[in-house]
Amino acid sequence: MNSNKKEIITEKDLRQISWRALQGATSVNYERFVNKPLVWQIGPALKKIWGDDKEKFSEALERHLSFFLSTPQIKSWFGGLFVALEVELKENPDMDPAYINAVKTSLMGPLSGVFDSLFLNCIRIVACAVGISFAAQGSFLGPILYALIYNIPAFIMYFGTAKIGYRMGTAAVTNLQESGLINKVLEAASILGLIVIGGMVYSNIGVNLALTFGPPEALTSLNDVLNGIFPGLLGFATFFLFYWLLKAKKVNTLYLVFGTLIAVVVLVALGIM
Amino acid sequence: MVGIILGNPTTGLLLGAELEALFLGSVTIGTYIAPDAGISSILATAFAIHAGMDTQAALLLAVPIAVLATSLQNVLWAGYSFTSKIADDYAAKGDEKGVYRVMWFEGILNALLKFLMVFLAWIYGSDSVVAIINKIPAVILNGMATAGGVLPAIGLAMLASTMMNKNNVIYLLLGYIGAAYLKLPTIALALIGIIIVVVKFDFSDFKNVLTESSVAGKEVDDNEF
Repeated sequence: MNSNKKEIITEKDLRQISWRALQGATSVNYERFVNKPLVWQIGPALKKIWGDDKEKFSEALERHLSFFLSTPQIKSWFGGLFVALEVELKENPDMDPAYINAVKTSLMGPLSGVFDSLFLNCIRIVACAVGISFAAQGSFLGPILYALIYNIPAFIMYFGTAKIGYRMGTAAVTNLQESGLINKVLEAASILGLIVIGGMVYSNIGVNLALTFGPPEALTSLNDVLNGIFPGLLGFATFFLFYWLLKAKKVNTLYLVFGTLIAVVVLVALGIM
Repeated sequence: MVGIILGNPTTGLLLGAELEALFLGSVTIGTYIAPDAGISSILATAFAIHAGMDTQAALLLAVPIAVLATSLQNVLWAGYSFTSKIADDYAAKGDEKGVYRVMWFEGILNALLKFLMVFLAWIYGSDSVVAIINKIPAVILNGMATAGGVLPAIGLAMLASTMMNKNNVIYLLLGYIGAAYLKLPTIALALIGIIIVVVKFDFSDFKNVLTESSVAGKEVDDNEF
């Protein structure tokens, strides 16, 4: 089984995943962030894995168009990992596809936290400090050193980690499949994923009211009152409203996005938001 | 680079150093969007070299454009939630090239927006560009910026719907409370999650599996993990 797997995804495919990670911020959207660049990144590999099965290929594309947000420099690693999971899914029809998004969700938040701090708050600051000190003297070493100090670690991450992600994914899932522990791990990954989503519901959603009440000298913001009852109450309620609309009412996301935009613009126009 | 193009690389470098120090504090982390440092730096440097202004004055001219660029970007990023739906339709048909086309269309529109902002501001002066863009009703610009806070709720709800059920919704609440009341970063939440999972599940047979299969793994494909 292992040798067979190696034939599907080659070094060349992993290199392509690394190259395509560089276009990671080509398009961003507020609903699912960098989902499209992820599909751009692993699309050719997905095609190779599912090529003969159009229906499964569509499912894979849809699976990876879900919410995705990560530090750009670890996208190669993620790409390798997701491709390994897709290969496993193809070889083991018993595997639940939900496992892949559960893994994605539980990893992207924490890892991005670590690597955002590393790249933006550490390497970038050091690179800027060195670059500024040279540029301030009118030396061309300034921008050059900045570019080198920041980009060398970044490119090592881009081009060195797709393979690591792929191997880790393959090794982990193979071991779990063989031992029959996969369902336990799926359940565990869902728990972890939901805890992380819970945190993101608070930190990534911002629904605020502009309404105030009371006498002018003691003007109170309704938003502050609501947040005093439960922090981020409105964002929390909005999340569950959308969840209910999607799951129980099966509302098309197109209508949800469209309705949200219109409702928000109207509410802003009325001075409510 | 602007310095080189305009034939005065030294001023470009000095300005670059000052501007870089200024923007060091503002960086896009997660979903918070900082004013567009690229656009304001390019314009400020160009103004300063061309008209011999000092950095502060040049930056004052450039910043309104950068702020506008950010709010127009908000409009685009909110709008790209729609084109996500087009991408979904392509995906449902198994047409990965359609998804790529949607992505590149958005990317080119982003680049075009920034190019036009800088180009027009340079040709006509930043005041007139600001005046034109101010004709777009503020309601639309503010509305899109506000929608930027609401739209992630749809994406997160879609994600949650693949794994959430009556039995595990409590863990979502746990993550929320950890972030909202305790201000825990995501890493802390994930670590708490790992502890819960270890306590909840019996992983005693798991250890055997890992040791056995790592030996097996070495035999099969010389895997160093």
